[in-house]
Amino acid sequence: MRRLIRQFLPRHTSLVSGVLVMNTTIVAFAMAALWFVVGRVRQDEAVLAGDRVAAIVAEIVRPDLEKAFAERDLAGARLSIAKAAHAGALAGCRVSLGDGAVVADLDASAVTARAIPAELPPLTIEPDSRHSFAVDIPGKGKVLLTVEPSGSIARSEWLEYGFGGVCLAVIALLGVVSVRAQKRAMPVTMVQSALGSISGGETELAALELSDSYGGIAGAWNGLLRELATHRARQRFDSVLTRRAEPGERDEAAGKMVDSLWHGVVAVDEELRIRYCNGAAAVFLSGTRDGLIGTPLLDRIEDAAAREKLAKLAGAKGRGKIVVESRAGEGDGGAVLRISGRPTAAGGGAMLLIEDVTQQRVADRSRNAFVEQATHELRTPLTNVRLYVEALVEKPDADIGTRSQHLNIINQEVRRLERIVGDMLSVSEIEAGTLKLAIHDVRLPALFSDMEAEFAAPARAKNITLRFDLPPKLPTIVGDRDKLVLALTNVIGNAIKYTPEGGSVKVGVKADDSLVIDVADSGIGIAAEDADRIFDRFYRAKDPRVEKIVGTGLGLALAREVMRLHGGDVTVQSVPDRGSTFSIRMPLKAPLSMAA
Amino acid sequence: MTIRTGSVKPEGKRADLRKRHAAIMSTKTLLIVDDEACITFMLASRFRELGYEVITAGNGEEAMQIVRTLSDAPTAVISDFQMPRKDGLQLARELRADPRTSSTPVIMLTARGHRLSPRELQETGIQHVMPKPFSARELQSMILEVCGPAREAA
Repeated sequence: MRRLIRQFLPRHTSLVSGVLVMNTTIVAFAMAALWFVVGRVRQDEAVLAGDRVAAIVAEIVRPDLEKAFAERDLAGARLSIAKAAHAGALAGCRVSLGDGAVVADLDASAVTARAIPAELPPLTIEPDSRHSFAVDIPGKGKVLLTVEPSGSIARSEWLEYGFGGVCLAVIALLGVVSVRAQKRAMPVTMVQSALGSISGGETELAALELSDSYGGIAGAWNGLLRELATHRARQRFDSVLTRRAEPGERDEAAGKMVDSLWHGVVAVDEELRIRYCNGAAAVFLSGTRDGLIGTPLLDRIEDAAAREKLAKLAGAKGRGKIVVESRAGEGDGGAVLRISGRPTAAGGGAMLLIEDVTQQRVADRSRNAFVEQATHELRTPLTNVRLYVEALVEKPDADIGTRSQHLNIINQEVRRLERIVGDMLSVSEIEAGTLKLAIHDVRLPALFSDMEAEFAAPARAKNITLRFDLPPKLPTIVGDRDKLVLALTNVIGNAIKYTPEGGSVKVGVKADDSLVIDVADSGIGIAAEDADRIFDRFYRAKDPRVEKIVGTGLGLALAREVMRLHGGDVTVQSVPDRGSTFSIRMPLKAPLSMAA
Repeated sequence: MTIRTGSVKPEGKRADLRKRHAAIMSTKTLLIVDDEACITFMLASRFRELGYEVITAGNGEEAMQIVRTLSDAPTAVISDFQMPRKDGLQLARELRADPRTSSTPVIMLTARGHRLSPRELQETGIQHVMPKPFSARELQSMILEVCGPAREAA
């Protein structure tokens, strides 16, 4: 419907108005053809009516004619003809003889016979019973009555058929031309509606493209649309650029940022040759930035397993991420690199991120060692308790000496368990950052005599001289006794643990403005590079001499944490192979740090 | 009953052991090795009451020194796993390497959270593992199984 309306609306395109003219012509010719057909039908009807009138008139006039001829009354015959012609409103009416002589006619001038002959000649013209009828005169022969109805026109059927044919041909021709023209006009119509959409706010230009089957106009239109799209995109990009910075500056700034990243960033092509790497990556891959460009990445990976996995990145597509850990160097001492790679979105290469996770792996190992150590520490006193309780239960009648010996051992082992559990809780509190102090008065003399009693046995077992240099008078201080004991136990315990047999450990205490406890051993000492890090959680020095000694790597971290909560600290001074001195300090008058 | 630790003062001790050895020809000898004196004390007193001859040591090194001084190998060795200087695993390995003790059964007491790895067991020939904390009765029945009652006809 819309198309029909559009076709009849004025168009500014000559092509469109041509279509309009053509359609009008078709309609005009169709109407003309219809008019001719209708005329023809009406004419046929008139002829048939005339024929009927002629037949009726012939029947009416027959008796009169028979009478007139029988009496040889010429006037009577003529009168009856006239009367019949009048009654039937005929254009003409004639009676003729077999020899062609006209006896009577409406047009008097056509009459050729002066009288009715006695003998009628036989008819030479066969009547057609339409407009000419034979009238039988009894005893005399036959005459021919010819009737011409009014309005009868001479028709040229050939002319009519020719005219109709021409009309149909013209209609058909115009129809074909019109269809073709409409087809050609279609893209124009669609372009027009597309333009309407654009002005109506349609921004998705691709949606307005026409099918190429519409030919040249569609092609030109699509081309125009694409150009517009490109132009718009460029404009948008330009506006983004001008809003930020000049392109050169921007790249440089981004490059500098990636360069200063502490993770390695590497871009490789589809054959895993390095296209870009930042400074950190160059260090991890042990090369120089410029020297690495263009070389195969896999040549730089020492770890065979990691190399195998990374090779899968070559030519990979999609979003699959590959994470490998690559070990450099031998054994546990080597660096561990975590390399994660992912193909670039467009394919044909990959981006890799390299992180140094050596320290994390060392911490993991220490954590595992801690768990193993803790299990051992817990199970040993538990075994003792079980064995001695079992013995008591089995022998209720044992002598009093044995019983009290057993009970003493059980008591001692339960206290040991308690202490281990306390340590472990403190460790997990430190881990979770929730270590808090329970502040009470702490009597230093009692605390140190407990320490002396506790470490006497282990020191004797290793033949170590353990000496406490205490001032004659020690104050009572304010603090968390259990946590202070924990810190001291760990520092003194360490000193005994890392001092070879026959060595010495000296604990010196000073208390004036602040409490200073120096624990000096004649042990193996601590290398300078380890000195700062021994207070890190799970850190254990990489000294082959301490590898055989079990430890959690948590003791010193715990001690330092506790002393810092008391407003003090733990520090170390050491000479390798000569010994170390750990200094535990805390202020006696300054307010305590109550913070967690 | 005195507890003998294996701290070695060679001459006198060796003579003593030899004398003792002659006396216990017909009885079975257990070597108990642990750095926890409480454990060796309790186990030694239990097995002596059952009639076994018991020798104790505080670590793997002491245990090896004692084994070398004995003319006959101990019937069985009960050893802790984690000990200073020489651990139970190393002790078992050395016992296996010594032709005199290569067939001596070793019962390993272990406080390790996890079990010993199959490779470690294979290497050392340890067939019996007793995880800590254990009951003395359990250990008793294991010893009975491994080397029979103390006073079997020799």
